[in-house]
Amino acid sequence: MARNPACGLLKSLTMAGVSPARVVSAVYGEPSREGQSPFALGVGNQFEAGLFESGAARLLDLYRTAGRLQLAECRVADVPGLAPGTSQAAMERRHTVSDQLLRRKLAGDPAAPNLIIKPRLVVGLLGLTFNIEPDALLAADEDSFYTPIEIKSYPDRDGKTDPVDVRGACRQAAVAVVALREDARRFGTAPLEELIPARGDLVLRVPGSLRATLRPMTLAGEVDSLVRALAAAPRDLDEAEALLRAISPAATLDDPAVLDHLPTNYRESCREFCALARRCKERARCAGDPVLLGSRAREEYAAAGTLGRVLELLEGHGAAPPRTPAERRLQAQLHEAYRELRLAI
Amino acid sequence: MSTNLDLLARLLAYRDGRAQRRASHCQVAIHPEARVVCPLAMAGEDTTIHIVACGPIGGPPRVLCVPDPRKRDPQFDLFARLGADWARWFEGCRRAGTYPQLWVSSGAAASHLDVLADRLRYNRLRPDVKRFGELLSYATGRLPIAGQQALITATGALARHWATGQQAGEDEHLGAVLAWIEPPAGVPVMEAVAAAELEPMGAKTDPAFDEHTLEPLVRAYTDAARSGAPTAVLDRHAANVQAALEPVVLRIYAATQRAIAVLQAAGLPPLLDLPALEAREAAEFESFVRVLGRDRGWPLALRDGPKAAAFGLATREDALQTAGAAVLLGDRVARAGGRLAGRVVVGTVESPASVRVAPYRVVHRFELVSRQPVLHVRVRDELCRADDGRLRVLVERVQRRGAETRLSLRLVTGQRAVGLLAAGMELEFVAGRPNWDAIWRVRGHLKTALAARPWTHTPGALPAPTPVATTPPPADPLALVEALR
Amino acid sequence: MTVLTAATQPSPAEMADRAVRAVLRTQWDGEPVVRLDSPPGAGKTGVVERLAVQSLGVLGERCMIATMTNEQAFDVARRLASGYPRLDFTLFVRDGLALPDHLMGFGNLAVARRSREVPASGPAVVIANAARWSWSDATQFAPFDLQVVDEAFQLPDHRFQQIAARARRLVLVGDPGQIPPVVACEIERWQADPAGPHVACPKALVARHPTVRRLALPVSRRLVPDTVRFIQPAFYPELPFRALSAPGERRLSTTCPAPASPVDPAIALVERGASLVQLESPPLVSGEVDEDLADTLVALARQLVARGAQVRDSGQVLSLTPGMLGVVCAHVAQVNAVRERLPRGFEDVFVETADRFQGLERPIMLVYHPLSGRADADQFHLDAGRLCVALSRHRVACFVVGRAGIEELLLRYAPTGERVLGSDEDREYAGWRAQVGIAQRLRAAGRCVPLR
Repeated sequence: MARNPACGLLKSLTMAGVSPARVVSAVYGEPSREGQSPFALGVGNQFEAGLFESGAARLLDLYRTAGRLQLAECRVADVPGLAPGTSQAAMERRHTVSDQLLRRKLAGDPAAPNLIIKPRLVVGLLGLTFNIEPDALLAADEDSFYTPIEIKSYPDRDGKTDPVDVRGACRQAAVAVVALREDARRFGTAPLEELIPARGDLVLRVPGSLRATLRPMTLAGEVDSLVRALAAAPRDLDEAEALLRAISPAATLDDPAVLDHLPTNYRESCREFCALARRCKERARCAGDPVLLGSRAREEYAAAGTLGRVLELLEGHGAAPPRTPAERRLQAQLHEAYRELRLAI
Repeated sequence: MSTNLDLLARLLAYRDGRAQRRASHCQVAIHPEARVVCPLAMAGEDTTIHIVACGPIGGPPRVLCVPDPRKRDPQFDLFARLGADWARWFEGCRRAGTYPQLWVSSGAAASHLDVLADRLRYNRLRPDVKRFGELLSYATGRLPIAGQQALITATGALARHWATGQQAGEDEHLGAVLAWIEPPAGVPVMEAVAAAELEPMGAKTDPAFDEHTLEPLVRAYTDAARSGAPTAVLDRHAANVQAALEPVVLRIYAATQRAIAVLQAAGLPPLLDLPALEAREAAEFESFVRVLGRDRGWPLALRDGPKAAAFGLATREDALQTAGAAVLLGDRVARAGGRLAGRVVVGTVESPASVRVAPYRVVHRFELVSRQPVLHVRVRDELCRADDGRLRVLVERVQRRGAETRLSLRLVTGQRAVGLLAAGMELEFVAGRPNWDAIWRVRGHLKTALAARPWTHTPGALPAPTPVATTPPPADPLALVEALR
Repeated sequence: MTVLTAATQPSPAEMADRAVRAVLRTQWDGEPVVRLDSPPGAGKTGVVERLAVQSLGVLGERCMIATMTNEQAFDVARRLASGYPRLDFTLFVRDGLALPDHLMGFGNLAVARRSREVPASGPAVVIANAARWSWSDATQFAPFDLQVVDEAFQLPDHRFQQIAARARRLVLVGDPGQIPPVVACEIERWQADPAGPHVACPKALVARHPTVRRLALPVSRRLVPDTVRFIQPAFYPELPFRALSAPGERRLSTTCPAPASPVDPAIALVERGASLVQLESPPLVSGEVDEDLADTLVALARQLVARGAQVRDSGQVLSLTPGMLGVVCAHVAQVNAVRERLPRGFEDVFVETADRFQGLERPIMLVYHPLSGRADADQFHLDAGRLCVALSRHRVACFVVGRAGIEELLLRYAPTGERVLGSDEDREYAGWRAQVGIAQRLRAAGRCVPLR
C-alpha cells in the first residue's frame, strides 16, 4: 500500500486485511500466478538454513568478518526453536518470547542475545493485527537495540544486482524496522528514531554458491513511506468506507462489481508488486487512460484526459475542436509530430 | 531519450491495433554468421543452464540439456560443449576479421548470460568451462555499450524500429512485441498480447510449470540417481526432463528467429554508419582476442580500479556520442525527433556576408532563422552541418522573437569546401557528427594521463603534510593576500 | 575563562573571515589535500582567488586552477586580473577558442593556447578548465605546488583522476547541494562503488580517504537569514551555515502606486520582510509549458518595475531594473515561453534553466516551480539539486510561482526506490523530502499567496 498511496483499491483491501493475491483467486476466481518456483524456494530455504544451523555459525562469521561482532558475541536465541510448532498457541508463544528478548535488550541486559532468529512481532493497525517475522535481529553488546536482517537468496552482483530484488529486500527490512519501533513504543521507550534508526542489513548470496554477502543499507525513504502510509490509515479507513458507501449501501469487498468501481492509480510499477495489476490494466484500457502508453503519456496527454480524446484532437478538422488552451497546444504538438513522422517514414 | 515522436508512435500503434514503425533505417547489423542463443536457467540457480537452444539465423537449433543443472559435472560438460563450438566460431570470426554476434530473446536472457559469464570465466576447475566463460564475456562485456553489435536482444532490436501501443516495460516480453508487430487476424491486439504474455520468453520457466511439471520430473531423476538406478532408467528420466523443457525453449528460439525475420523482411536500408559501427565492433573483438591470447590475467574484472573505470567510462561516453550521432543523422525519424526536441537546428539562411579582416583572411557570417519551439543552443556553442561535416559554425548570438529564433553564426571551417551560402537555403545543424577516430585519441590520451596513479586514487594513508619550512605561519594570512590587491 | 556573550560572539563576517583564514593556513601547514564545502553564495570563488594569490604572491609557488567550464575559467581569470593588477596570471585555453571581450585589455593576463606557452617554471598562476589541463602536455612545464579545483562537485572522479597528479597539494572547493555531474552513459558497473568514476570527486576522495582534511564555509554572503532558514535544513542538513547580512538589512520596497495586480499581495509580503514567497494559481494539470504561469511571471516582473521597486543591499539603495531580475525554469520550453512574453525594455531579464543558472545570482529571482502543473512527480522534477539552485540565486527576494496542489502531488507520490547495494544514497527520496520540507515550511510560515 505504501508503494502506491493514491490507489483507493489497494487502500480498501489493506484496511480489510486482504492481500491482492487473495483477491485475484478468491473474488475473481483466477488462478493465482503468484508464488515462487519450488526450485527457487528450495535454494532460499537451503541458503537460510545454512546460515542458521549450528548456532548460526556462518551468519555470525559473516558479521565477524565485517567487524560488526566480536568473537565472544555469539549468543543466539532461536525463537522457532524456543516455541516450536505452528499452532496458534505456538505463534503466540513466539510473540511472547520475542517480546521478552526485546525487553531484555532495552533494559540493558548484558546477556541479551546478539542474534535473534525469526522473532515474531505484531503491528496493530486499526484493530487489525499484522504479524511481522523478520528473518533475524542483530545487536552487538554495545548496541542499544537490534538491527533487522533480511536474508534473501538473490545474487549479489554489486551495481548489477537486479534492482527489483534490491527494492523488495529493502522494503521488507523497512517493514521490520517499523515493526520494531511499534514494539518498542509499547515498552514506552523514546525517542524511537534514535534507538531504532532506519537501517537494516541485507544478507544476499554470492552468485553460483551458498556463500553470503552482508550489505548494510540505510532505509530512510522506505521507512518514511511506510510510516506515512500507516499514519494515513485512519483517514484511509474513513475514505475506504466512504468509497464503498458511494457505490452502494450494501457494498462489500468480495463483490467483483464493487472492486471494479473502487478508484485505482494504475502505474507502470504496479506490475512489480500487485497481483491485481492485470485487472487494473484492463480497466485502464476501457477508460482509455493514457498510462497505458506509459507515465510520460499520462503527463503529456493530461490536458486531454483520455486516449480517445487525444485521438480526436489528432484527427482534427471539426470533429471535436479543442476545448481549452492546453488542448489546443496539445493538438498543435500532435499535428506537428504527426507531420514529421509521416515525412520521415 | 524518449521524445514526443516516440510517444506519438505509441499512440498510433494503440489507435491502429498494430505496431507503428518508428525508424527509417535499420540500426542493427544482422550478421550472416550470427548465432541465436536461448538458454533457460533453473529458478533460483542463476548460474546454470538447464536447457539451451542454439543455432544460426534461419536455421534449426541444436538443443543441449542436462536433467539437473545442480549436478556440477554434467553442467560443466554442457558449458564445455558450447564453449568448444563457440571457440571454433570465434576463431573463424577472428580469421575473417569480423566479430561474433549473438542474438537472445530479451534483456532477461542477456542478463542471464551476463551472470554466467561473470562466474564462469573465473572457473578454476575446468579450463574448458573457463574458456566458455571468457568467450561469453566478450558479448556480455559489450552489452552496456551504445551501438555495440555483439549481443543483440530481439526485444531491443524490435523496439528500435517499431513502437507498440503499450508501456515500455511491457516491451520486454518478446511474445507481446511480436503480437503487436504481427497481430493475429480477428483477435483484438490486447487479447493477443495478454495471451502471448502467458508464455515465458526470458531465461526462466513459469513458476506454476516448475511446480506442477518440471520439479517432479527433476526429482524423479535425482531420486533415481541417488538410489543408483541403472543408466537406462536415468536416461529415461533425463529424456522426460528434456521433453518437458524443450517446447518452452523452442518457443523462445522460434520467437527470436521470428524477430530477426521480421526485421529482415521490413527491408529497411541500413543506417549509413552501420558499417562503421560494425568496424568498431570488429576492432574491439580483435583487441579482445589479443588480450585473451596473452593469458596474463583477465582484463574484465568484476570490480574496476580507478584506471580501468576511467577507461571504461570513456569508452561508454564515446560510444554514446558516436552511436547517438550516427542514429540522429542517419535515421529520418530520429532526425525528425531531434528537430522537435530542439537538438537538431533547422532554419533558413538570411543575410550571408563575408568580411575581409586581414589580407588573407575572410570571415563568413550568416543568420539562421528557425521556427522551432524549443532549441538547445547557446552562445559560443559550435555546431556542425548535419549533411556535411565539413561545415562548422560558431554561435555568436541567439535572439528569440515570438516564435522565431534568430541565430547569428560565424563559419569556423568549411569556407573553401562549401563556398558561400545563399539566402533562402534551408540548413540543418547538430552539435556533433559521429567521430569514429575520437576513441583512439581518447584512449591514447588516457594512457598518458593515467599512467601514474595519483595518491588520491590509491588506497592507503594520506601523504604527510609538508609545512612551509622557511617562515612561521602568519597570524593573518588573509591580510597578506589582501595587501597584494 | 572567556564567556561568550552576545558582544563577544563572532559576527557572521568574522566567521566568514576566520574560515577563509583557516583555509589559507592549510597551505602553510602543507596539507596534501583539503575538501572545502561551500553553501550557495559563500564566496567560494573568492576563496579560490585568495588561495591562488597566496600561493603566487606570498609563497612564491606555482598554482593551477581547474574549473569545469570555459565560462568559469573566464570569470576566475577576469576576477584575478582585475583584483590584483600587480600580479600576473595566465589563462590557458584550447587553440581556436573564442574569448569574450571582457578579458581583453588586461595587461596582467596572458593567454596560453599551447602547453609550451604555459609558464614553464617559476611562480605562476594558470587558470584552465579541467579538460584543458587533462589534455595538456605535462612535459612542457614544471609541476605545480597547488591545484585548486573550483566547482569540484561538478567534476566526476574519472576526470579529476587525470589531473590530480599535476600538483603537490590539492584543494577541492564546491557546493555539495547542487546539481551533480552529468553522466549520460550506463554506469551499472560502478554504481555500487562510492568512489566510482561517475561520483563527484570530493565525495569519491572522502570515500577512499576518510581522514581527508575537511573544512566548510560557514556563511553565505548571498542569501539572507530568512532564506537560509528554509534552504539549509532542506538541502544542507550536514552543512550548517548562516547569512552574512543581518535580518532586515536587505529589503525590497515599492515607491509608487500602479494599477492593482493579483501579484500585489505577494509583493506586500516581501516588503514586510519575507525573502521567499510562493504564488499559487488555481490548480490545473497544464503540461510542460503553462502559458498562464509564464504570463504571471512576466506580470510579476512588470509590476515590480512599474511600482518603482527599490532594493536595499549592502548599504546601497538601487532602483530595480530588469537586469536585476532573474527567472529560472526547469525546461527550455518554459524559458522560451517566458522570454517570448517579455515586453520591450525587459530584454535584460536573465531567463534560463537551473542548470545554466549555477554560479550566478540576482537581487530578485522569479522561479517557475518544477512540479507545477504536473500530473505526477518524477525523479527529474523532484531533483533536490535543481530546486536548490533555483531557490538560492537571490540576494534579496525570491518569488516562486506555481499551480496549487503541489503538496498533494508530493504526498501522493510513491518513490520507486531505485536503490543500489552498498550505497546509502537515495537521491529520489532526498529530493522528495527536500521538496516536501520546503513546501510545508513555506505554508506553515504563511508564505503561500493564492492568485485568483
